[in-house]
Order: sequence, then C-alpha cells, then structure tokens
Amino acid sequence: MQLKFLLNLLLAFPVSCGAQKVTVMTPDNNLKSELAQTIAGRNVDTAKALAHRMPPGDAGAVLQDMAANQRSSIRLLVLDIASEVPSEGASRAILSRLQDADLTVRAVANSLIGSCGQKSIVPDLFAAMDQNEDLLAKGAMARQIGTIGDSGDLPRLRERYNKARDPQLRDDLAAAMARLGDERSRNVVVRRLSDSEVDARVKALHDIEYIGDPRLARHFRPVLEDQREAIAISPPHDPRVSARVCDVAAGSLTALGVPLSFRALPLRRLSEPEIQEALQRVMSLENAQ
Amino acid sequence: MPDFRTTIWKSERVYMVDFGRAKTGEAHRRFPDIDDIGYHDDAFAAEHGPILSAMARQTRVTVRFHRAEISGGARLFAVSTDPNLVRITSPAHGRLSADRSQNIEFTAGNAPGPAAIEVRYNWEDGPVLGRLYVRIYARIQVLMRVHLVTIVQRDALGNITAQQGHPNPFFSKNCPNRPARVARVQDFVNRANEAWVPHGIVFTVVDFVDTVWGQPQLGSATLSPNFAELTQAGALSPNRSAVSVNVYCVPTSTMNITGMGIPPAWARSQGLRFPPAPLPPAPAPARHLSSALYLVSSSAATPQTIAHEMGHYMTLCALNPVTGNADQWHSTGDVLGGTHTRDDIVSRRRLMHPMVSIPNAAPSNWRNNTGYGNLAAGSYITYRRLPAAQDITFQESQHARTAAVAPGFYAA
Repeated sequence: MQLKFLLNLLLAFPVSCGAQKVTVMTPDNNLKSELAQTIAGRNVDTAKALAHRMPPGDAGAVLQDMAANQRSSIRLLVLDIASEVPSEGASRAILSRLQDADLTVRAVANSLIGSCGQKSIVPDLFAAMDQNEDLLAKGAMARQIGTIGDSGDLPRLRERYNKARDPQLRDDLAAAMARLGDERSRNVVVRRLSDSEVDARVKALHDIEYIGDPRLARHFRPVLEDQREAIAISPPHDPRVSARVCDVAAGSLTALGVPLSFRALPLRRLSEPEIQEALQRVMSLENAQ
Repeated sequence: MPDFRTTIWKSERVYMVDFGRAKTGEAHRRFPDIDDIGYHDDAFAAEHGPILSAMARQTRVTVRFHRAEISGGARLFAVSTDPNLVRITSPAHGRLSADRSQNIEFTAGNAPGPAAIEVRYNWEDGPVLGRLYVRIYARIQVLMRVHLVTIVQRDALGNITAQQGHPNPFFSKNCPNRPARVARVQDFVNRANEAWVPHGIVFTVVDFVDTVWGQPQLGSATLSPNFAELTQAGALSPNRSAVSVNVYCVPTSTMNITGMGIPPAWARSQGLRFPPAPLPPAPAPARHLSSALYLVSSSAATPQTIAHEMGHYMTLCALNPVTGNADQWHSTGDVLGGTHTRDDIVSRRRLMHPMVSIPNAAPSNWRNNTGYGNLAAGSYITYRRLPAAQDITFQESQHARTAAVAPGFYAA
C-alpha cells in the first residue's frame, strides 16, 4: 500500500512541477483523479465502486466537476453515480443538469431533484428554481425545499408564491411552506378538505401526507364522511373498483402514522367498521385539541 | 377532363386531398400513423387537418398522399412550409404524379418545431388544397434496466427449496439460455420503438441484471405472484435503478396478464410505497414506489405489449390529464363515471385502446381490418386535443413526452 502511495507521488510529481500551480498529490487526490478518469472512460461499474469507496464529499466534488462534460453519456453516468452517492457536490451536479440541452439527461436530473437532501443545498435550489422555466421542475424544487429546509426559508418561498401565477406551482409552494410550519399555508390546504370537488379534497389529502404533520388529521372529519368515488384502484383489465374519498382519507391517516387497528395503504375499499374506527380516531384528535 | 368533378353543394366542405399511413402491418418508425380524427385541435385551434410527427434527423419518413376529390390530371405540388424542419425528398421537386395515391418522403431537420406539408394546386406557390401538419420532436431516450427475475423459496437457513426460473419458450420463443433471453427482450424493445420513435421517444436498454425475488420482496412464499405481491416486490427489488425505468421480466403471475405498466404518479396516489412506514417514533426506512414495467415471460406478450404498457408508464390512460388524479386504466370511455364509451375505427386502431367497449380477451377479432394485421393490435398514438367534455384521453403524443421528462419519471 505504501509502495503504491509512493509510486502515485512519483507519478504526480512531474505534472506538479510542470504547472504554475503546485498541486500536492495526496491519496485522496489520487482517488479523485482516478474517479474522473474512470467516469471519462465510461467504466461504469469501476466508477461506481470507486465512488462508493471514497469519502462522499470527494466523490461529489468530482461529479460536480464532470457534470458539464460534453458527452451526454458521461453526464448520464455522473447523474447515475450522484443518485447512489449523495453529497453536496452530487446535488450540485444534479441541479446543474436540470436545463441540459439533451432531454434524456434533463429527464434523469429532474427525477433526482428529490435526492438533493442536504440543507446546505437550499440556496442552490432557490437559484435553480428561478432559472428554470419548467413549471413541473419548479414545483418539485419547491417541495424539495419544503422537505430539507427550515422556517428560515419561508420568506423566500412566500416571495415566489406571491409572484407565481400557475395554480399548480402555487399549490406546490403553499405545500412547501405548510410543511415548514407556515400556519397560513396550512390553513389553505386544510380548507381544501371541505371543497365541493372530489379532486380538490384528494389533492389536499395528498398535500397533507407531504406536510407530514399528524396533528392535521384532526381536520379529516369531512373527508372521512365523504363516500363519493375518487380514485380507480383496480389493476388493469380487472373489473373497475374505486376508492372513495373516505378510503383515501384513511390511507392518509396511515401515511401520517396515526394509529389504527388496520393498514389503509395501499388504498383499498374499507369496510364500514374500519371507516367508523378512523372517524372515531379523528374525533378523539378533535377533542384533544 | 376538369380537375374537380365533385358536385359542390352550398354548405358542403370538400377535402380534395387526403393523407394516410404509408404501410399496413406492424408499426414502423419510417411510416408513422396519422392523426386524422376530424379537423379540430383544441391545442392548436388555427390548425385544421391531419397531423403526424417525426424525430429530429429522421430520414425517409414516408406518408401516403391521396387525390380524394381531384383529377389525376391536376398539377399538384407538395411544398414544405419550413424546409429546415421538413425537407421533402420525394417526389423530386415536390411535383406529385397523376396517381390517385402515392408516397411523399421527407427528412426531418436537426431542430424540433412545427411545420406543414402543403399540397398546392397548379404551381409551387399556387392555392393550398390541403395541409398535413408535421411536428418534429427532439429525441428523448427512455432508459430501461431489464431485470430477469427468478423467484425463490428458502428454508429457515436460507437454502433455496424451490425456485421459478424463466420458462422455455420465453416470450413465445425458444430461448434456452441467458444470451437468448437477453436477445429476445432486446428485440421486443427495439420493435416497441417502431411505434414511439416518430414521437421522439426511444426506449433504450441500459443494462440487463439477474434479480432474485423471495419472501422478503414478495411478502409471501409464492412462486407465482399476484398484483399485491408483484407491486411490493417491484418496490423492494434488489438492483432497482433510480435512473432507469425498471423492467421486471417475471416468469409467471396469477394475474393472467402479459404486462403491466405502473407510472410513478399512479403508484404514489395508490400508496404503493414499500416497506410500509412504521409508526412514529421509529425512523422511516428508505421507501420505494412500485412504479415499473412488469412483463410475464410465460405469456403471449409481444413488442406491442411493451409499446402499450410503456404508454401507461408515461401516464397515458392512467392519470386524468385534467385533474392529474389516477382515475382510469384505458382510453376513451374508460374514464371513471364517463359516458363517452365508443367502439369505432379510431378506438380500434389506438395503441391505448379502450377496455370498456372492446373486450381484450383473445381472439380479438375486432382488431382485424384496422391496418395492422390479423388480430394485431394497433399502434396509433393521438396528437390532437379535444375539449375535456368530449374526450380527455387524446393528445397522447404530447402527454407522453411531458411525462418522460417530468420530475419523478424515474422514481426510485
């Protein structure tokens, strides 16, 4: 091992001397250089194995550097590795490809927005959100900020909410603010539970699952009393079976971790006693308020 | 002989020229289906005519031109409104022959955009008798990881006590070993592309992996999983990719299906996310959606199965494009509570054909004489959008493309 280290130093030395800027080659730098080379050579398995062995920050730095490679196959490999070895650098590599000219690369980057899990990446998410014209990507970034951010991010989310015109993007921003504890946004979502439209109620339930605060379950009485058909749940080619709003609401209780004697997810048509139990649970939450 | 022989009545609209698919039988990327369902497009209200598309840089894209109500002696020219997008390569100089039907070939430009092939009367800049709207799409590769799944049962010590490997024939062909099975799936994917390439969508197999499912994935000791077991195992599967569509080739299923495409948004709305979240305060483990393409290798699946089920994966007829909710499984008429069921030549040609009015069980005689071969399913993917009150299942081409680049498409 020591011999290999010395050999690496010797190999690195002429390069360092030849350059204006002197680079001290450490074992970590060697690994970074090796990762860069294996990515450039599209040695997929070797590159992945190496990235897993390295400190995530070092691997992320390489990914960030290589994310703008001219070859789309390299950029795809960078994203593939970023999905497996999360770090700040990996997240920045992902965010840098959200407007890639190659739609395939862009699609993969869009799918990995949810992998950007470091709090320190929130400013980058705001910047990427402002630069991106794609409303779906903006919405996904808003929700990711809601997931990894904190209440200090509320003003910047509110500012974008006030400017946004697209209803879906406004819903995404409101959900993100609600998740970060903004009471006004929580009230907006809760009010939708009493909307006359089935779709609005279902969407509100899904938003509350995202907000993830079981205390919001105390507002579920209108949806648990709603027996209207809501979502087809039968597998393809089977006779159509649909979940009612009350079934979706019970599913949301399960997702929020509210204790019930049964699981309501994956969605199914619940029995009347099961619905009544869910209703009783919600009423007890109302009373405990 | 006069050029126009049709008696024109006062309020009659006559289409003197028409366009159609330039071949019959299986889908072919160079011979795309044409959306000729009426002359209304809600998305492009100023455009009235048939529509087709091609992928940027595609060559020799071929469409059939018909002199519907005009004499063979009339001088007609096919003229592109934007030769940078659509360059007509045949007939030479765009001059159409006197034949009642003939092919027009064009090369798609490097950049995406809309154009039209206009049929002009008497001169290249003469009056326009008809238009074919052409959309040139940028390429989107839909990446796939193909899992060749073996199902095993183990005893308490972890020893395998029973297993279900892939049958032979594998997808209806003699495939005695892994290379043959890989080649069979690859061939299916290649042929499924024939329907989708004109829409700029290319299914690309990134890799094949050997994946083993047992009780930890399936939740039971079954060798022939049902819907619940399949979807759970799909979410909990080893080798599940976060940057590709996971294609699970399973040996057998009790579901009596050839395949099933589950889009991430549908899986999310159903709560198909595994493992189940524990009650607080236990920390939630990493959880995965059941979104995937499931194919049953002992079934009579065909390349068309992949084309159709990937249509579902790209949200077609799985999500209501108006509300975004999961409320249907097939096309026109299969909408929850909808009354727009119909059975006509359009619905019979569609890749995403209806299930309510047209039974899917073999033999599907209703598929005959729709242009794709005896009993063969269609590959027609719609472009135009109709008012929501009429039909929410159209505009499949754009919906699929939007889904394929949207956040969460490759949901892990």
